[in-house]
Amino acid sequence: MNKPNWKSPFKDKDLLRKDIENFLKKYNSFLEQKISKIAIFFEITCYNYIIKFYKNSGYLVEPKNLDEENGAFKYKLSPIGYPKNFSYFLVKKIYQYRKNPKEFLYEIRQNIPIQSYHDPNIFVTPDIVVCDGIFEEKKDKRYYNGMRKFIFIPRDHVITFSEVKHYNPSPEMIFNFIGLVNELTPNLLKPVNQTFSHKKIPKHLSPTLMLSGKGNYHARLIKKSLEKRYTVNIILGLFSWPS
Amino acid sequence: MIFSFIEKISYTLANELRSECKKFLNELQFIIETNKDLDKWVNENKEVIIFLLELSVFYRKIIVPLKGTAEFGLELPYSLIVGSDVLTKEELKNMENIVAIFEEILSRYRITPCLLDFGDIEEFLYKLKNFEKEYNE
Repeated sequence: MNKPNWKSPFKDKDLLRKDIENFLKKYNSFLEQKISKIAIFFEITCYNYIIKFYKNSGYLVEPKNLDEENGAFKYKLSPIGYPKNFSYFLVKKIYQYRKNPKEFLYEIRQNIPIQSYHDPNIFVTPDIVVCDGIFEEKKDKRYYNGMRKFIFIPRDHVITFSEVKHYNPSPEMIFNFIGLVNELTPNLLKPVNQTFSHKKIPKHLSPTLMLSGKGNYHARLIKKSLEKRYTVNIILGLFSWPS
Repeated sequence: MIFSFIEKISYTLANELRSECKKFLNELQFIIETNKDLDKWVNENKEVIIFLLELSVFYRKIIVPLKGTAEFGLELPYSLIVGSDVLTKEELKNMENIVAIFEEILSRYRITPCLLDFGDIEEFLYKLKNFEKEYNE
């Protein structure tokens, strides 16, 4: 039997270089157009992973608030803008709860300010948040110069959240995330056996830091250590293989 | 140490990759200077190692996000609005095709996403060395 005609990057390096250069010559302008959106694509992909998590966990997943004109899903990619003007996913699941079936509904939103657990006047905006759909608003000149309403998720209505970074992880970046967890869901910073149980329903993803870069040995050690200590997920190398 | 790959692409694209490439190239230089077990092999194959290193950064930083967006977008029954842009099915399909063309080039050389995935430069060199060894067998 004939062996397939494999080329080797070591022996055929000039050929490989030429193939890649031809590819770039042909698609450079397309890639250039997209380049400014790469970090955004990463955030969208992570948002989509969260949706998939809920789908795979048996939730019914439904897009809401699609664009009126063309029916497209409108991502909210910055803290600016009212939530009502953007699309989101509604996820629902029926559990047996105290011997009766009960439907649990949650909204998976992007870039909505969340009230701090410790101080009602402090807000932070993680990239993705799962909430029960309750929002509050205030018109206060100290927020947005009083020009517009400030809409936020009250502290008791946050279920979980995710932070997304299209970077190679550094220790500081990972520890900053723990600061965010402390501000929004400090009860999850207790020892894992006090906060986590497989029997707890409804099931949700723990607060999650999603990073595109795989990081080095030290970053992986920090991930392991933090995940052992707290109810958090730190996902490194999300855009690597195998992730 | 020079950039062999990214200097040939447009400034905007190169900018996205430069700092990560530079970091890995510095680590590579350090290994050449300090690791006696690797330095001979690395020196012999320096040019192709640098090329593959930069290719890896390009793949992970540019191609994979496009792939992720296209794959998910095409699963959905509606288009996506990203800022002021609408990503139509046609555009997502185009993205997917370009990613497939790039991956086809890699597969001709048996370069897999797994080979291009590494945490630090030592891991990458280890993978490359094994990869070369398998080829020669």
